Amino acid sequence: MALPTLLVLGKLGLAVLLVGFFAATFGAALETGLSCGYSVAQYFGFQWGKFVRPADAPRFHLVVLVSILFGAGLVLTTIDPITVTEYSIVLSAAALPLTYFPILVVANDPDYMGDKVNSRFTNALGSLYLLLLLVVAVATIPLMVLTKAGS
Amino acid sequence: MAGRTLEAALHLLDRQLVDKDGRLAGKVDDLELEFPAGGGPPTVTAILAGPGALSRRVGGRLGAWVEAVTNRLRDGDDRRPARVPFAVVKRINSAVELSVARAELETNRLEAWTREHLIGHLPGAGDAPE
Repeated sequence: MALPTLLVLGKLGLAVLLVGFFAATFGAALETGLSCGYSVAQYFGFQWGKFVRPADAPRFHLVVLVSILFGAGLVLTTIDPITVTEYSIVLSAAALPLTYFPILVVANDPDYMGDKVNSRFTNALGSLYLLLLLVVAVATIPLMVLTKAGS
Repeated sequence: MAGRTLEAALHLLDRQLVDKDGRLAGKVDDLELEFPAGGGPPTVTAILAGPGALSRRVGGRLGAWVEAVTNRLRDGDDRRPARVPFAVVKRINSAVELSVARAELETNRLEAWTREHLIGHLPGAGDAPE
């Protein structure tokens, strides 16, 4: 992508592109690192978030740092990042019912939802969507194998 | 006060612990029950939280490994999981609210260890957010 840009837009264009590369990867690294921190901290009940001092949420920040280092290490193995992305998207689609179903259960819990608890109508819609997700989850792995992950 | 029946496994287990300042202090991983001498239903005497309690619920090889690591990280030979006396429980909603600060709780040990040995050394660790 860098070479055609150099040909068409010249050196200045290339500089802009490199800044763009840096911004995109830097932002994505922060986002995925934070996301790992949030998930792990929420699961174990650690204090999390950027609204407290890092010293007040030490385990959350430790998970964020370790995930960023792990991600950098993974890229440094020279594995093809596009392949990693394709497989992780397919696997996350296969896991969708597992994340969606607990949310549907919580949406029916008056302890958490108060008067916003799901009605029969929203439960019907939610269950319909769960069915759709189940179809997607069941189909996604065989499709990945059959199409060799779209190659 | 009107009685509200709580089911221990449903309304206590795995709920978030929140301290008196609204800080998150772990999850209810297990409960300590006491059976009265004269028979009758058991009473909850403490909340057990943290990897020491969770490992026993997970069980198997993974649980044993987690428990060994937890014990290794702990000062002294104390092998029991972190314990929060049930007397400090203020309210039970979607979270279990406590009447003390999390620094006073045993469940804060690993958090304190991480701050003391790792995160506290980083520049900016003590900076308040904007």
